[in-house]
Amino acid sequence: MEGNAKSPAASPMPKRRRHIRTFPVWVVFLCMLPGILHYTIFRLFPSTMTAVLSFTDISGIPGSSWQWIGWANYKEFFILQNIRDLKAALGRTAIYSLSVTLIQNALALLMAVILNGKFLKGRNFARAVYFMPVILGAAVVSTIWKLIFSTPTGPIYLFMKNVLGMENPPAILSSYSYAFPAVIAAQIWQNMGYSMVIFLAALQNISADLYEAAYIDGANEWQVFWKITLPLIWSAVTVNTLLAIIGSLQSFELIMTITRGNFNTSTLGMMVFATAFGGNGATASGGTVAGMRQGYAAAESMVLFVGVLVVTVISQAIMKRMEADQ
Amino acid sequence: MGNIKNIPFRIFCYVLMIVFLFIYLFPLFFVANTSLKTAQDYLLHPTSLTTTWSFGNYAVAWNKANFGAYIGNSVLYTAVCTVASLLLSLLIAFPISRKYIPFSGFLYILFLCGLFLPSGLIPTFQMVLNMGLYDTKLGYMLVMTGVNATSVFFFTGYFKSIPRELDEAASIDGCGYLRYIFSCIIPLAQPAMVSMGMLSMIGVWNDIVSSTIYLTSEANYNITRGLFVFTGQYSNDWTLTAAGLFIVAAPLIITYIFGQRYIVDGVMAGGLKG
Repeated sequence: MEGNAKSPAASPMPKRRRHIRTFPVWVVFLCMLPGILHYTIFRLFPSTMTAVLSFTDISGIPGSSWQWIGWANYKEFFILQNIRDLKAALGRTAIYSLSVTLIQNALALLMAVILNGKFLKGRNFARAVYFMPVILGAAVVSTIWKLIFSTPTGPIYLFMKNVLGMENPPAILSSYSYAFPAVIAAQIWQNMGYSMVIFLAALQNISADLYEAAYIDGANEWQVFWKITLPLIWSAVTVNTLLAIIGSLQSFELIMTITRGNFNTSTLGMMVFATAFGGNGATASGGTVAGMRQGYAAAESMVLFVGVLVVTVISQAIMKRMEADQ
Repeated sequence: MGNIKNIPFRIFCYVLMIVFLFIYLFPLFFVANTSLKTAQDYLLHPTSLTTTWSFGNYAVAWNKANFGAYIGNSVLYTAVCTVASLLLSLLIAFPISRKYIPFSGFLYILFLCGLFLPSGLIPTFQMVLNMGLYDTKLGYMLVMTGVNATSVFFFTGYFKSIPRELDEAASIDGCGYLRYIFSCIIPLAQPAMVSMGMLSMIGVWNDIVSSTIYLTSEANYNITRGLFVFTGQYSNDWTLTAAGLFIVAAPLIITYIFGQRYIVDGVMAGGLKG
């Protein structure tokens, strides 16, 4: 009151009024405490402890002893373990992440631009349908795709046999060459709607006047997309790219539920899970190794973390550069 | 885009939309159709439309997959973890948005860090194991509950639209902090609560990784775990598997039909933070 009475014209924003004291700080803090404790114990602490456990040979069997073993886990990962397996796993992780990121975002952007067209009848329905697999979750989505790819009654099998006229169509999900692309396709199918919704939110912020002006000046859809739409939604492109990279590098839910990491589908994220908690596919070649080696799994997960960090930083730099070039 | 009357472009848009509708609806339709067939009918004519309408598959799947036992667990987990996560996040986000406590800015950054931290799967497992909470409902729920960074971000933004004068009026009138939160802030922040609540519900209901890690006895299984095990056991009986799949997906689809707007709002908020 006293502050802005003097010269309201000079400072259009009123000077910050001193707030009346409201609730006692200790009460407010006491109410925050459960959340802070839970976050510290179940989020911050485990996150940092991963690095510590990676220098031990701790196992997942209750009550068993463990000891410090220095860099042995990392040495095993990078040197002792069959180098071909390691290369295969890292390569597969790269392929998985790259193809999911590129294809998912390209399709999501295409569909978002199309569904943003006001003339299109049924676009709200289409948006709802494309987004639906996001909420269905890995257990349901994996079961759907297991049925679709099943042999010999699944629609894909029948399509290859009857329409494409193949003599002996492969059983996709138990094939060393086709299972991996199938899992990638399922991952894209599930998450395309998520990226699309983020693109749509960005597209809706673009003023229709800009498009109108461009069309009056004789631009076609193609030019409008590259010169107006894309530069204006570049922040959404960046966000979606990063989300897809981080998500696909770490996620293994669909791999776990569809193939359990067998048939050359295991990525680094899946390897961490399989090494730590058992199951097939812990080695890249699809062979079974004894699970519950959690110290080693912690080392694998540190490698994954560093990988995610490096890729994120590099791709962010690239996105910045591309933004500047536009 | 496409506001001018460019007919080929419009046709292109329609074609693409319909192709993608097919890609997204066909699998669901095929599963639904399969779930209504008899096993024999499915093996003989897998792609034909169902003529038998065997709704009995659902009852059989329900019994064989033991969903009756698991659905109670899933409801319990989903309800407890969602309410707890929302409450914890809200009680964190409100003071931060008002700067009622020292180091609010630092705390805000700390919670946002949760988005980028490595998952800590293995130490969490070790901790739960050593606390004697492995394969217990409590242990699982403790892991699945969490102060979600997205919720903190979303709520903090939302609370800024609730005028601070309301806090002051309430406290002058002698309203306690918790009472104020429950009787004023929660009702006012309802849309934000619903958005984040639905995302959290979907996440807990769908969880398959944590339930595989932490729950080994069938008495503790959630329904998605039940579906996963059932699919493995009856991998050749696709009519039952398809029926089981729809039983698990039904609550999700119903939630989605009624709450689509809130869910999409929540996702957009999550995406725009970056």
